[in-house]
Amino acid sequence: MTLAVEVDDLSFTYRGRERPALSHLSFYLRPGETLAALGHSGAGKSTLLAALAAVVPEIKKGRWSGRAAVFGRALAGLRPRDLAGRVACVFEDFDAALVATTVEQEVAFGPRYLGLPAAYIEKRVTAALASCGLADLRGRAVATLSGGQKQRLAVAAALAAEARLFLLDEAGTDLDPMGKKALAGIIAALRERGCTVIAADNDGAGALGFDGVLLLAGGEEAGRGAPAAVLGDAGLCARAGVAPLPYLRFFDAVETAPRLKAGVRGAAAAPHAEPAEGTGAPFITAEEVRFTYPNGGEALRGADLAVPAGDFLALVGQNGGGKTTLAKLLAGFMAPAAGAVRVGGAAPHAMPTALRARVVGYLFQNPDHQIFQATVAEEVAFGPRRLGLDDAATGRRMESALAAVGMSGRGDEDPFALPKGDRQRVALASVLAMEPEVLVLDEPTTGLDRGEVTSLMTAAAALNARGTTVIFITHALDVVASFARRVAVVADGRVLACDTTRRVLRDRDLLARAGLEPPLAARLAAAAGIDAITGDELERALAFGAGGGGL
Amino acid sequence: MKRAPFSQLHPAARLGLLLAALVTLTTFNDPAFVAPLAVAAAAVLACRAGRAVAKALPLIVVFVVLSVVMWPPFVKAGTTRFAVAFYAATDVGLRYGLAVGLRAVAMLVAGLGFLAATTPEEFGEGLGAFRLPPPATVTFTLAFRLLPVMFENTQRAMEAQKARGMDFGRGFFAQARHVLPLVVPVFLYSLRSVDQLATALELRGYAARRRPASWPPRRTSAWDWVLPLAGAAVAAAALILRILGFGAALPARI
Repeated sequence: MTLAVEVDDLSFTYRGRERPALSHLSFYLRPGETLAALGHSGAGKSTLLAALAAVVPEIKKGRWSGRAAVFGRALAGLRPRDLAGRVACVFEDFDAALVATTVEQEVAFGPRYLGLPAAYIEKRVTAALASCGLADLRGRAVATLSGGQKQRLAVAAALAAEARLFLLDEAGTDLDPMGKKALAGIIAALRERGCTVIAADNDGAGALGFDGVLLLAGGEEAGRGAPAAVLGDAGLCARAGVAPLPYLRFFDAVETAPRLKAGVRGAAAAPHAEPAEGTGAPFITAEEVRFTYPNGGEALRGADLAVPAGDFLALVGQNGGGKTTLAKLLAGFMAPAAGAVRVGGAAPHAMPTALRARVVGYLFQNPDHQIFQATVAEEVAFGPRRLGLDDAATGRRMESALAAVGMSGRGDEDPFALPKGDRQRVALASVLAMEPEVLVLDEPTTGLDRGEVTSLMTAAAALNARGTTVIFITHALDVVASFARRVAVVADGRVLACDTTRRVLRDRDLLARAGLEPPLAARLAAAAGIDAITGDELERALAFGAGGGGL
Repeated sequence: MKRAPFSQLHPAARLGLLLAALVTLTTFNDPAFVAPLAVAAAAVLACRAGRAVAKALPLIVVFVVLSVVMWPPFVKAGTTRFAVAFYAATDVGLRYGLAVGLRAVAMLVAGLGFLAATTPEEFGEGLGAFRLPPPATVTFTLAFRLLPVMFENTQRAMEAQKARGMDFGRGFFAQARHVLPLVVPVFLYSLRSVDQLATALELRGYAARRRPASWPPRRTSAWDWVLPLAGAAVAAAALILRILGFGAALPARI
């Protein structure tokens, strides 16, 4: 039988770099097998996919050794076009890889250039759009789609190519939980059809459904095997910078505490202090806010929100629900079409730009939309200089901001040469240097690995502890569970509820109305009758039950 | 929404009709010949987008008046009708200015009408039917796809810099002074995306010499041949009329 993928002692070093991006990697996959390639940022996941798509070394040049083959065909000397129709790819930066102007033309692009008959193209387009929940958006202009919708479109375009090997490079980063669930379903369906799938990701939450897991660290194989075996090994996961699954930790804990096997109900008594409800009158308010984009898309339909000073609030909800629009209105980038937004009693959009920057800081999802200076120090000092501060004051703010994000002493580095996680921290430092009263983070953890997420959110938590009000948008409810004090659930342009994190994450009905579900640890804890919403709480609850002798 | 008859034609037929209209309009420079064509073009567009045409009407009038005022000093032929200091306008110059203004408006209207009824992919398909190579057609489609992306990226870069206290001010020159914090992120982001775009095109079967299949399926009708041929006949008739000396306020110029 011809193997779907053969990788034999493969090494690759990008031109101009000294450290190899891939080092002596060997594995193979049979047709119909699925593999999750996991690892920290820069571990070599994307390079592995690029090698299997013949992007390296033909388009991205470098030093290549070893052998890689797809369906028996050696990749050395091939270009991506030689694999068209056999290999389909969803790129990490999916927006940059969309090539057509309408949704249906985007999906039809591959089949059209493969020269398929029109009737067959129609069939493929219809099926791919239905699989990705885009049937209703068939005639829409690509430019008018949200980030999550564009990512679904990229997946649909890959499906329409009807390839036999699918390479998914962080294909679920911008998807809401329901979208991620749908993507898992698509991968399962591809496997049923005998297609081979390799999905690269920073964490292993979705990897349990795969046939195998390949852990990468620094371009080398750090571990490989069945998902439960690899992701249940906390030490191995730590070396690869991947979060071990709370699911497995839970059962590990059960195994190591025999008395718990009799029942985990004793752990339900583990107390959790509810955070303070807020500190006085709301500092930020949105009342009956409506907003419609020039293309006619009604993003907000009467949203209400009240955020006290010093809050640490997460905005959660499905793609296109209105989270980013609400956050941008709070930051004063736009004026509401109806209703009122107030920050510290004033309408943020009416504030002079310099004043607004001191009141509300905004960190964009992609740091590359902001960074333009030659050094980290200059980038961070840009804002304070705009405020007219002298060199000494600017320097103090710059040092303080870099320290807050854990980048002290790195001011001379070139921000463009840093990994994405570090670029995100530079962007955060440059907003912090403005010393805003409110910090809005728009999906700050997207595309970051476990260590980078922890580092960034810990920095935000430290700022919040010093009094800064933090509002962040995310689809990662495990991050919400670990860091947010309160959660606002946004759906269909309205705020469905705003309450403490624990109450919101335990309210499955509320979350379901916004197309969400509690994080895995919370679901498992609920099933076992334990009051826990994070993996750590789950472990502590189990330890409490065991130690307390309640069983 | 029901599609206009024009947008139901094959893209190549639409392109042929547009070319015929442009050739016909370029042939004449006498307002007596150009005005009916301009009015006809505006009337056709007004049927589909009346509000937009009504909104643009003051601009159209200003544009035509400017043309009437600007051209006469460059035309010496004819009888002087008006002279003040260095400015002199002959009857021929005024007629020529009016014709050029109307012609430009008619061309703009025809072009906008075509673009409103034709997606970039359809335009690419039309160009392909005229045997233009695939890279030309794909480049055209990509330009239309990437323009909004560039605009969106610029918008985000602007918001990101505003979040750090940057006031771009209003007006072109005020904003041009602050171009660096905008251009660098947008340019570098575009550079980072180039490899990805090239790879995406290749993996999806794009090759310089491969012509894409036509999709969605089109039911061609006799109108796809009749109308462009009629347009070509009108353009040919216009050229013959012009060669015979009709339709030219200023015979030596286009």
